[in-house]
Amino acid sequence: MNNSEDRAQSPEHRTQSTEHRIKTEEHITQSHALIRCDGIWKIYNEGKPNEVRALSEVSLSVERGKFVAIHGPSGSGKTTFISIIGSLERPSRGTITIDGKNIAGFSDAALSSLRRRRIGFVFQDYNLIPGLCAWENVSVPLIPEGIAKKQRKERAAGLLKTFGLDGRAEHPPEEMSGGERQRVAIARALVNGPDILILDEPTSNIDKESVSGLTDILNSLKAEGRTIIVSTHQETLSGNADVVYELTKGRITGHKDYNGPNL
Amino acid sequence: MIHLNIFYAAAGNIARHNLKSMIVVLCLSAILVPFISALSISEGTKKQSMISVEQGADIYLTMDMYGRNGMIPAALSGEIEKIDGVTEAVPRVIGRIYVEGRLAVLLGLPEKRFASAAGFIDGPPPVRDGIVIGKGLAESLGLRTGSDLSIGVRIFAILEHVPYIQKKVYTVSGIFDAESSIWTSSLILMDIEEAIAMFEMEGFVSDIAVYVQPGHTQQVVESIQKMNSFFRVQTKGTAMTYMERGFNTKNGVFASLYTLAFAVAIPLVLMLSGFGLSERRKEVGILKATGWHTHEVLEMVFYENLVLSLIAASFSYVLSFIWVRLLNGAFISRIFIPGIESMSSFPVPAEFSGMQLFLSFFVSLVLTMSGSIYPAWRTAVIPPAEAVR
Amino acid sequence: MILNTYTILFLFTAAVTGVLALLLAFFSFRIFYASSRGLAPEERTDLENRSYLLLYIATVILWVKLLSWPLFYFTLHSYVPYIHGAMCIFGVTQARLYSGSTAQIIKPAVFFLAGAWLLLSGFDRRAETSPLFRRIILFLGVLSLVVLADSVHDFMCLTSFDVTSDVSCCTTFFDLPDRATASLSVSLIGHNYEKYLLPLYYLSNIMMIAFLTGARLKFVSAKNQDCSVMLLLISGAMLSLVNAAVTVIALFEVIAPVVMELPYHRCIYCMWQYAPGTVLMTGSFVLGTFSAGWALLIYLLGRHEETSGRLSVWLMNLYLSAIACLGASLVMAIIYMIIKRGHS
Repeated sequence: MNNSEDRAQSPEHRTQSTEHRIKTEEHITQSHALIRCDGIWKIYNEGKPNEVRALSEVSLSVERGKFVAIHGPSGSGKTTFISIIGSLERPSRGTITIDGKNIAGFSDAALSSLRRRRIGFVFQDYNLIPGLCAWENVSVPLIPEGIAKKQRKERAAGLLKTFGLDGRAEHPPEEMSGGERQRVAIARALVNGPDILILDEPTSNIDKESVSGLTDILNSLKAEGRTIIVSTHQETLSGNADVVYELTKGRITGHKDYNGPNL
Repeated sequence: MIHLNIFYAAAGNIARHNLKSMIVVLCLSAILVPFISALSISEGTKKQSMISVEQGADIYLTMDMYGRNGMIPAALSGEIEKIDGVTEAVPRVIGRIYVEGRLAVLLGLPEKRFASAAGFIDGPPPVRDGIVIGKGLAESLGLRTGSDLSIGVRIFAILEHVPYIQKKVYTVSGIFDAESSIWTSSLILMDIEEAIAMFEMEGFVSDIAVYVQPGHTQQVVESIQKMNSFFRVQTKGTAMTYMERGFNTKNGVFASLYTLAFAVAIPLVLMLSGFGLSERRKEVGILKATGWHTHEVLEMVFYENLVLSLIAASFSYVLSFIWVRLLNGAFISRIFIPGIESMSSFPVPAEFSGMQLFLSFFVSLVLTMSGSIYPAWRTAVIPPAEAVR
Repeated sequence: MILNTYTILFLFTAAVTGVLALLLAFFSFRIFYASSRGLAPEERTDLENRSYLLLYIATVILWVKLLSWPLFYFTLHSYVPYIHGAMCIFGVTQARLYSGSTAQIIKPAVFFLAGAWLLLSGFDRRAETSPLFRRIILFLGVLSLVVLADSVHDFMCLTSFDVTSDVSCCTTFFDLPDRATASLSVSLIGHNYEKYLLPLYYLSNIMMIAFLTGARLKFVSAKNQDCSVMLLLISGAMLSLVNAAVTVIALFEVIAPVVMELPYHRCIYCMWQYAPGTVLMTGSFVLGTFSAGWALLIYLLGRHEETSGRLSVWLMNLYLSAIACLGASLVMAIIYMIIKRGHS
């Protein structure tokens, strides 16, 4: 039995968890949530000797246009959780709704369509495709949209310019700094005009100056009305968030709403 | 537009993963080049043979000897010429000989027949002790008009049961040139009486070539068969049919053996497709995480294989052309031209056509597609979440 | 068996597609069975992933079959010198022990079913929960069996040629007064049928196009569960069959002789060789006819509350494609008639 399971079995933790769930559910029902997670579990290799419980009964809601931070130490399940919110994988149990539709029941193709149209994802290691220059990397999500190369290039160049990379459009990621790569990754996440932007540990690979630049970018995106979800183990970005969820060992253990009730 | 975009992305991937693409193309080419070369040489040889038959007589007449073609009395040509519808009956002597270690075909014709071949001969027709020699053979032996050539024939005397070689020196009176490279490299023409004497077949010839008026072939065949039931009659049509069948069968045997190479190629492609797979999986994970559907990834991989098949087929076609034209079909020509290694060197006849390109592309596509099914699928179904980690 | 390069390549292809079809059938029925119970998310992902394997195998088979269709005819054509009396592919088909008409039915059937499967898959992919998943997998299983039958038939067909037999070629088959197409025409139209057959062909195709256009307008307003939609689709499919029959007879009796400028020769195989453009004309007609059939199949197999919003759009698009293809075929036929008749 692993640690998270031990923790789930302890009576003290069960009481805390139940109270927390009730409070969270009250909060969810009170708001007009864009994203709602109800009792999300993610268990890898379920029923096998190497079973891993990454998430246990996680519930939260994200309102439209808010900046939400998922804060927690390494190995707390942040990446798994935002992968599920970002429809990159399915939860083992529980429901996740976006605009009232339960995406847990969506087919693989429907999940891909959702990612394409509604969700932009910025990965921890940026995951730019080597060998493709900056604008080509940015325009990758536009290829299956049937947009001609000329328009793709224009759109990508416009976004790169917005992020101060207009002179770097033809450069491959190998020739860029960490901060520049991250901005290319953000541009790629935004190229399809999604209303939800998810960033996984965005401050882990960049210097302080770039963090400040990133904060500015995120604030301006929020001002445009986009919903931003960030997973981080640092306080730097959490300070700018409207809502911060504490994730520890696969469970939500705390919740701070700077615009509403703190739990 | 979506499909076109994905197609361009696939083409870009082929260029980006150039090492892997090159290896796949080279492996496919290694399998396809001998195949296309063989087909082209076979087609070229067939075409030259068919032209020879087409331009030849309408009927060929021999005697049945132990179920095979045997000598026929030379005097019969006069009788045949009397048949209604026959324009000419030409007795011929044909034999294979070796000239200074090179294989040649000796053809003896009556003097009057040389007049019709005058357009192909540079010089006067051969008279007694004279021969006309193919251009290729003349060049390889360093002969020209007026040169002397000693020709020996191995004779097996039936009565004495003692083999001996009969030799005689001839003067080259002319050089024979024609479109058919096989003929120019091996043909020696001489007067029929000389040929009869050389092969010691007095009173007999190898066959009688019968020329008939248009539309009279069947009637003449029937008349000849009525003369003697031991005659073996072959019309131009049947000769062409058997020739085509013969070449096709040879092709078929070659292709059957080659199917083994095709069968080996499928797992080879499967193995090569796995080359650089981990790098590829990461890329596909990114594509899927950014909203690409799994079927779109599969479509892209499918286009990659399609383009690779096309490249491999075209590359193989060009390489085959080089092999056949510049290297004169080294090693492979002997399958389709028996005895080529003993003949004077000549440009191997080959025919390159769109059909070979189609077959090459078809084979390439079947091999690439079927061999890449599993790796393509494994790549395409990679969970996008893997790209995040 | 006639041994040549074409035979060997075609048999190799038949063997490869046969093995792939067998795999396809096995996995299809396995997935269909596995998906009959409630599935955990991981199991669902696994099944979906396996269904992509089927998608890829089926696509490969479809492409190989598509390319091997001309190869099949090249192969038959290469047999002409072997079979006494054969002058074109038709003569060769007469020398087979296995019925030549089986290939003429089974090969188009493979493409019709494969087309329907591709359309259904695309239709289902646009739904959120993939509600047609099981139907499509089952359909794919059936398709794979037809492909397998086609491969087996190809194998049997090419290995069982009776080269010793004398055959009658197209001239003695299609040019006889009591040929099937003529007898049918006489019984339907009368002895002066040649005079009326071409106008009938034009009229039939124009009416078909008009019907499809009218039906499209109806799809805009009708609800999917409406009986009239079903009635229209069934009528469309039936009319397509009638139109196909009229067109085939017209092709043999009137169009082929005019195109070839051989007034008494009525062989479609020869027409395709004389005028390769007619292959496009025939192909376009087949695609148009298939589209009407596909629309019916999509309606029968694609009905679900989740897909109801898009069903009428797909039906309209399929009918539009049918109109375009039949129209293109008709225009090509008219152009051939004008040019060749003027020429003669």
